[in-house]
Amino acid sequence: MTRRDWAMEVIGRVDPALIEEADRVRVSSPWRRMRACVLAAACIGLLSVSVVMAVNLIAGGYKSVKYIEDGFLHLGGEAYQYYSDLYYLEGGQPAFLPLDQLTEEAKALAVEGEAGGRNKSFSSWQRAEEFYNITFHDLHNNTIFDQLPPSNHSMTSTYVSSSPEGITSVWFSEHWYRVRGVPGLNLSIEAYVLTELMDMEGMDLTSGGCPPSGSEYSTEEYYGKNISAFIAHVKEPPRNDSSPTEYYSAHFILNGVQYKVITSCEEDIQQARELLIEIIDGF
Amino acid sequence: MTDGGLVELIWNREDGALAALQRAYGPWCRAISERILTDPRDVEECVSDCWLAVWRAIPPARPEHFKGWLGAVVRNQALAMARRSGRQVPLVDEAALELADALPAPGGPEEELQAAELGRAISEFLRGEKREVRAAFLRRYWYAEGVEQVAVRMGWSVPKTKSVLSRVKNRLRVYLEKEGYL
Repeated sequence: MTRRDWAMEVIGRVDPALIEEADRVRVSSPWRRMRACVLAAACIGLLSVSVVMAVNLIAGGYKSVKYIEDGFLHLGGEAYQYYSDLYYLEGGQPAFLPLDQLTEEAKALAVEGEAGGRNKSFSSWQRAEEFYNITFHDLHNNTIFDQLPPSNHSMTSTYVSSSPEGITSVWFSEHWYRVRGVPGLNLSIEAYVLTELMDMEGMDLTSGGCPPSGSEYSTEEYYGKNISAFIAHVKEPPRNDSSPTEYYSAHFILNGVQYKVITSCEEDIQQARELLIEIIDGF
Repeated sequence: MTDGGLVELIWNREDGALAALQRAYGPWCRAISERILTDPRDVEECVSDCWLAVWRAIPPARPEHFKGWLGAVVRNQALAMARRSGRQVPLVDEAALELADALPAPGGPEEELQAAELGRAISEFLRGEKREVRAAFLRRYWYAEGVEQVAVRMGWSVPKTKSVLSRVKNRLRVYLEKEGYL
């Protein structure tokens, strides 16, 4: 083995905890801070340029999208092989919820001194909001969301992630079926909130989807009345003699909160798309 | 999602585990492999292989420091790909050769064991150093960043960064001598 390869091999055996720490350390020098202020002052005159540039961002607040096809996943045995495609949005700007805004009950979901995650379900989205003291104003102002019948939905699932210091993020998800009384017209809404404890380490928000390899998918940037979204139309291949799964998935960021809306309709996929567009236009 | 939550998802083979992993660490893994593999297609292949390696390893592995462990996985994948292709990566080579001066030479059939022991010794040495010095050392020699990049991250001048790295390597050599590795 060459000296070069040997050095790379040895340094690769350093404690992973130290590798993680090295990724967190970033020190700003006084000169860099001053330079940042000087640049910010100079940029005021460039505001119109910034606005022009902003419309070139991918719809929904993300800056870029990547596609990966046929990534092979080996799931526990040669008899079960799984290929997956991936579309991957990145570059969104987050907002951070102050930890004090959460209720004491919500904060208690974090295991003191440990990193982890907990599931908690509720009978409705509103109950989940009350529990956490998080209100998704954008959703409640949406003309479609508030009309969704409470009787046609599953439990509202939430997942809380936490670091040793406390809760870092909360994920909400709910599924409605037979929307507007249409058989097979289904809707899922997911919302992902970061708290001030989430260390993004200079990274932007990301979102995406992971349909099975061999899926047909097309994507578009949809510019609605007030917001824009990245929309994927996915048709997964049939599995085990079942029908193929087909759906629309919209990804967007509103006020620093990531949303994912998925619609499907067995009888008529166009109704799924129309529902999705109505929801986006309803913001 | 926390690293603990991510490991749980993968452990339980839950839907969305892979997407969550890619969402959380895709850019970070790409950044590590991009320093070693210059071709974007190789980078994508490397990162894709990394997800597969993680899926295979967990379970039974349940890494305590998932991010650092994942970084080692992607770094090793990238180095293996670079070796197979025979491509030289000047930045990585420069960092590795700098560090090699402070290390004992490899030798014999027990190289694997020797590498692991040296890794532990270097970790022990680094824990005795100041946090910023530790970070600068690893950014240069593990993350294979250029000296200028390390300087920017640490808020130091380039001459200061070179001086810090040189002194810490000398202290490492002294430490390894004292511990009987050199």
